[in-house]
Amino acid sequence: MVNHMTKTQLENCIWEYGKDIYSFCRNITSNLQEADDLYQDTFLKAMELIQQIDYEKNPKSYLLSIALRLWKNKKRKYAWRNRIANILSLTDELDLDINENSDFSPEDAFLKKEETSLVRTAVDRLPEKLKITTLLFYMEDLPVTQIASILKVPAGTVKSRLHQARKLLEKELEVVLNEKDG
Amino acid sequence: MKKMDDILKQALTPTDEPDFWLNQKILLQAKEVSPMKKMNKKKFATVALSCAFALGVSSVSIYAAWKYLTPDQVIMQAETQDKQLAEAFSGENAIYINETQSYGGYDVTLLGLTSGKNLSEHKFFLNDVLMDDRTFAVLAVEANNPVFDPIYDNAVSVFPVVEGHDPEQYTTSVFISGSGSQEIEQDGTLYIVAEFNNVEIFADQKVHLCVSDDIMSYSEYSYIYDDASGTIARNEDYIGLNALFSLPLDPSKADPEAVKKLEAKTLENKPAPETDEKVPDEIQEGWDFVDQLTPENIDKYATPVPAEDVKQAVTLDGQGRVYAAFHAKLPKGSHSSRCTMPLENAFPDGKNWHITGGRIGFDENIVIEYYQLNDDGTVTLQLYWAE
Repeated sequence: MVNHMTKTQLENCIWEYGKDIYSFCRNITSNLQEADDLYQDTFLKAMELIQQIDYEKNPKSYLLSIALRLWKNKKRKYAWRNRIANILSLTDELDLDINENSDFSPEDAFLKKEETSLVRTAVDRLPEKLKITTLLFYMEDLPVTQIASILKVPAGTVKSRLHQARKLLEKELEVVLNEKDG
Repeated sequence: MKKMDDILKQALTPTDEPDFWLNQKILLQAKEVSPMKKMNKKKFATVALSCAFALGVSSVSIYAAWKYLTPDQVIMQAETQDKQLAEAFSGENAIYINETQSYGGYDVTLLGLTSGKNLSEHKFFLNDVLMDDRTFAVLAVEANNPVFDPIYDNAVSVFPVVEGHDPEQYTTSVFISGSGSQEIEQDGTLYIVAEFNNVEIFADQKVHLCVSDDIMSYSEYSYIYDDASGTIARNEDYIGLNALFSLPLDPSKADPEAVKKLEAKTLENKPAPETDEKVPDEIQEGWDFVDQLTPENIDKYATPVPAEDVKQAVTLDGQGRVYAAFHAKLPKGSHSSRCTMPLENAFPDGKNWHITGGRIGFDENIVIEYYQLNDDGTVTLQLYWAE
């Protein structure tokens, strides 16, 4: 039995998964304006495709898949804008929400923010295939098989890309990795 | 020492929140969205058509010139309103082509092309290197009755190919890397301004422009690259848009030295083949399940996908190949596929059926393709699904 999503359920998705989808959009576009556009287009496209979405079956994965496909199609168009607009770099502008209410001391919070910034910049520099796979796995917390389904590649390829990404990041993030736990 | 997994997990935890008003805007706009909006059909000005017929115009190129905006008009209406580029299309390096090709329910007209240095007002840097030798193409695309309704916008991709150079390696990394394209829609026609790198240096070779609605920019489904001869051709069996225009570049503009350097660099950057590790159990079980199916037991173990949930096309070409394309909605998920199979592989040793399929994602149904070779030589496809 397919439980086709209703508009109300899709609206609920905006509140439930908005942060996940938006973070993904921010990180694949590396730009605020483009992320806003992509996020908006993703939900509007989902409204069009609403009869294909089963509310009971992981709508977040479906929304991420729409975002990714829209981005693939749009990125060439966006390349034009990048040349004429003032683009803020990913890490300059990202709202690195190191929780102000957490138990971190101001010094720890600063170091944490630096580390987050370093890691995100390194991920942003990965080749696109590896970057998207890394974001879906670590940011969106999706299992390998679901990532394979979204990217339409065998699960083995997803694992291979994650492995390659970790190898490249190990080099980039040597300093962070060598820090003592704490 | 910290663990990479922990570091990545921590640093990549979603922290960006969409603005409250952005969500409100979506909800407001969503009220006006109807499910599965179709692509606009052509509705170009009938006055232009009547004029063309009244003049008894027989040449496709002149007809196209009447019918469409000119490249400089398209450029000035596009987002960047690049006056320098519009002027370049009136200069000596501009080539007006106006050739129309019709495939897969689309009419694609290559209106014009220009190549050279400093054509655009906007400087383009790729990896901090100024790319000032560029090629721009302007196209008009009309969707009259596409074989497959594009599910997503911007469904048409435009990219150059050069014979003797594997498109898998060259299309993305050499010709379109970092490039942009702009689109405008007017009177039901989609106009595309596409730009490319490194095309003119190949001007003494056979350069083509591909316009495709395939899922990937270049794929072996829509175009055929012959490794041995280096030729590139449309795949005649492809169901959809796969136009291929020959670009009349000026051979005197070729730069064989630059080509050699580029070839060496491309060879150096050739990616290692992706290695597939062991597939997860859910996927392997799906394959094993399908392997057990026969025409006798398929109705017992699987359910036919109703005709209204399938859009499909199956053809048989003169060289004994089955070409199948389908998009099916399943109770859990949906599945699209395009494939070509030599008849003898699909139906070996007098067998008149072929069953294949599997599970694409673990949360989706198993999709099963049941091909039957009929007595009259035609091939039919019935899709099934199973839990």
